[in-house]
Amino acid sequence: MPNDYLLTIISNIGMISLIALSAYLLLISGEISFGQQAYFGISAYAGAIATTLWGWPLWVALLFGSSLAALAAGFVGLLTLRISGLYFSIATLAFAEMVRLSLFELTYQVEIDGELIGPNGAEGFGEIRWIFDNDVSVLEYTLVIYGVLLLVLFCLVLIERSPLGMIFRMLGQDPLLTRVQGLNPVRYKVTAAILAGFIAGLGGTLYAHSFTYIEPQMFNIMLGVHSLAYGLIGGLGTVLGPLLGVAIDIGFLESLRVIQGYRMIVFGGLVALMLIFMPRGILDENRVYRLKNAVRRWFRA
Amino acid sequence: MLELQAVGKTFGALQALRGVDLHLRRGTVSGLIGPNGSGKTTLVNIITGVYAPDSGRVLLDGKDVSRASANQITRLGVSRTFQNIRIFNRMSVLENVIVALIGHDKLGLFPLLGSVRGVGGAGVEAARRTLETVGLLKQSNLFASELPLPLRRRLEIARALVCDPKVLVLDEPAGGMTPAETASISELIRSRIAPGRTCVVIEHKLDLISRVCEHLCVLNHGEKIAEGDPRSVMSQPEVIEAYLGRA
Amino acid sequence: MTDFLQNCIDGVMFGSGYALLALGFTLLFGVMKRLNLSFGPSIMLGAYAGTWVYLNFSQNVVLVLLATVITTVAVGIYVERLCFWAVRRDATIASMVSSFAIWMQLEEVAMHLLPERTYPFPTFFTSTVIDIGPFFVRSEHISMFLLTLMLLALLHLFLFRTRPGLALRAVADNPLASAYMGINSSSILFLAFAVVSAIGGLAGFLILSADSQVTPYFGLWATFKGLIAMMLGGMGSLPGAILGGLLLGVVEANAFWYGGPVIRDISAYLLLFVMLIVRPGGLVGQRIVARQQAAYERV
Repeated sequence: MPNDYLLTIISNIGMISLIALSAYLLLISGEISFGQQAYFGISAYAGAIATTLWGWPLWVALLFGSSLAALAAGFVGLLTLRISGLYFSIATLAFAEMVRLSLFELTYQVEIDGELIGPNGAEGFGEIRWIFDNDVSVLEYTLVIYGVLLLVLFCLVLIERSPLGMIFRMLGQDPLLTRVQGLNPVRYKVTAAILAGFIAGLGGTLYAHSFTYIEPQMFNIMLGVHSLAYGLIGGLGTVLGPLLGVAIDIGFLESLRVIQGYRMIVFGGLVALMLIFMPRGILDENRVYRLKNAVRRWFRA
Repeated sequence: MLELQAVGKTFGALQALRGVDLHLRRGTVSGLIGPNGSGKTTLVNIITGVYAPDSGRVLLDGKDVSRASANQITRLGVSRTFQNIRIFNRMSVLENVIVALIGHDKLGLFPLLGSVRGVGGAGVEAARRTLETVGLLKQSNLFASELPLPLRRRLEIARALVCDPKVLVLDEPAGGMTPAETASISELIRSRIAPGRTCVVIEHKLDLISRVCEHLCVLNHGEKIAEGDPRSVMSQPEVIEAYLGRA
Repeated sequence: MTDFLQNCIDGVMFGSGYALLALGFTLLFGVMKRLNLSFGPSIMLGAYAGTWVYLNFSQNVVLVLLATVITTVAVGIYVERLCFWAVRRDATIASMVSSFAIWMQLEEVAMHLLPERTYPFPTFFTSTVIDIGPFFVRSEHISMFLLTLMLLALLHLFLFRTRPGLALRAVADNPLASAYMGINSSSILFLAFAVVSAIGGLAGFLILSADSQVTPYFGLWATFKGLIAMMLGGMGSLPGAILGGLLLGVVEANAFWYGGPVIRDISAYLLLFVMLIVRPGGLVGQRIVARQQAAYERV
């Protein structure tokens, strides 16, 4: 039985991968979002409220939180349709900060067993006890997280291989050319935004229940930039890219004792270097393409 | 089939087009020539919906499409290539052609989860056929950015061709090519692409024009200065002066 | 009503600090079409250097100022080489993300250098309150306001009346053509960063003097306030930076008065968000319409 510390790291990799995939989806369709942490946070709070204050089962809360996140993402997606590039990125940043700051003003407490439980502004939201109340072990919850992650990966791979996936990648390379092929970018930009919001939302609710305590400060710019960085480091050519990025940071860097306390310096430097030498990450489109061709040829031989 | 009526376009202080009339008959290959800056690409951008004319109208089969967006015009059957080559550099050659089919619903947007990348499927077949027509079948699995310039131009043509457009617009299809490459692509256009299709070709190279075009329209400083069959147009003094200057 | 007007006055005064920060951002964007998100942290490290000098070396205001500015410039050059000079010309967003990554680096460095929560920062402003009818103004804010205007004038002189300034503007307009004219765009980028960092250091010094302390949150704060002020005014516009800073100051002052600190910060971001959606060009910029933009692209 693997020890709890290792399981915690593995769980974190799983949950953070979800927000990384969320940022990745937008990256490949051509937009850099600094604000996916907003949807992660909205879903964390909504899902936690659903289980802790309203007594809903986890999977319903998961869908509830993620749908709320997706709705918010769609709303922002619609508002930002006519802006792109730098303006879009800053707008997502602004929205995410508005969400985070608004959480400081969120107070909604309910009395449960003689105690006041619920989000309380800057003091956060503790006692998210669903795992304990339902006798779920750390191992079992880790499996839940990876179950969700695998489902998301499966759906993303399906999309990748479909016309929709192609359209996303077209938008990411040349929106004008995409239009000239007969496609209206509006539909797809909003679809990408909603999907990305939903995926981030899944991560958020799972995170709240894993940590059992959430506060507004957890959903700040740092989280947003990290989620972008994972795709940029791991590679934008495949859904495994962001996962690679997460594994490198949480799995590898976090455990390197020699750089304890300097992780940000190393990570930040790594991102900057990658952007100079491998701007589309380790597993970029070209490399993934060659790998696939090589595999194809190997199978034929 | 395609008609432009008194089309004008201004960018800030520059009047790119002024009162241009054009009438393209079905099935003919028309050439659009003129010195650099005469407004050819602007005209083509207006035809394909990249921007709207400031004055005048564009009619496709009698329908006013002046305000239509690029994607709407493409769906009505107009395809184009670009003067400074626009292809999807991070996709394969085959995928670059398949994408054109998505826009025309030939692959079915719903269900969106039909497989595109797998072997087989009507779309992939059509794409392969078109690649064969332009002579790029062997390069199907190459990454688009790995193609040399003449092959990139052929890729753009394949992409424009695969949905069997009503109007095909080629913007300098021989741009940047050597005489041998130009001859090769002229022959391709003349024998395999142009027959039975309404085409507009912007070009500077006279050998391509003479090989391919049945009808010529000359622009200079945003205005049409001559129109007619190639031989007579090319011998008109205004046209010679526009290209070569006054003696 | 008096309250509202007082808030506006406070806002304009405090907004001049924001304007200074915005000047740094906008100058860089105007020249290089890129955003440097490490701007705030660079200034913070400069401020830390100033504090160190103040605590351990000398209380002389000029020395502290020099330490602040020089350190900010040094850090700025580091950021410039790594995130901007080394990155491909057209990868503007890559530079921005890269500078964000370096911001993470700088924050951690700052944390290691000065682990306490706050440090005193010298103030050379005498703090007196000046009454103007029913309103009052703090003298250090007036000083900051006047200094901002002076700096704007100096900057304008530099850009429009000196040769390096001309070179800067040339590179901003058309780097390739400038190269053909013999202007080394790499040196110009260096110069731009140096000038911008110097302004930043000065801005930091003024703001922190008025506050008389520096905290680790200053880096993030300075970046966001400067960014918001710049975007409100219009990216790349010097007068826009001033207007944006003042607008931000006024909105924040009123939001704080009527709603508290959290409402104040939310208002700042809300203002930015709305401006980006409705008028991305900012107060000074034109209304950018996407389709028109395609016309200016070489299609």
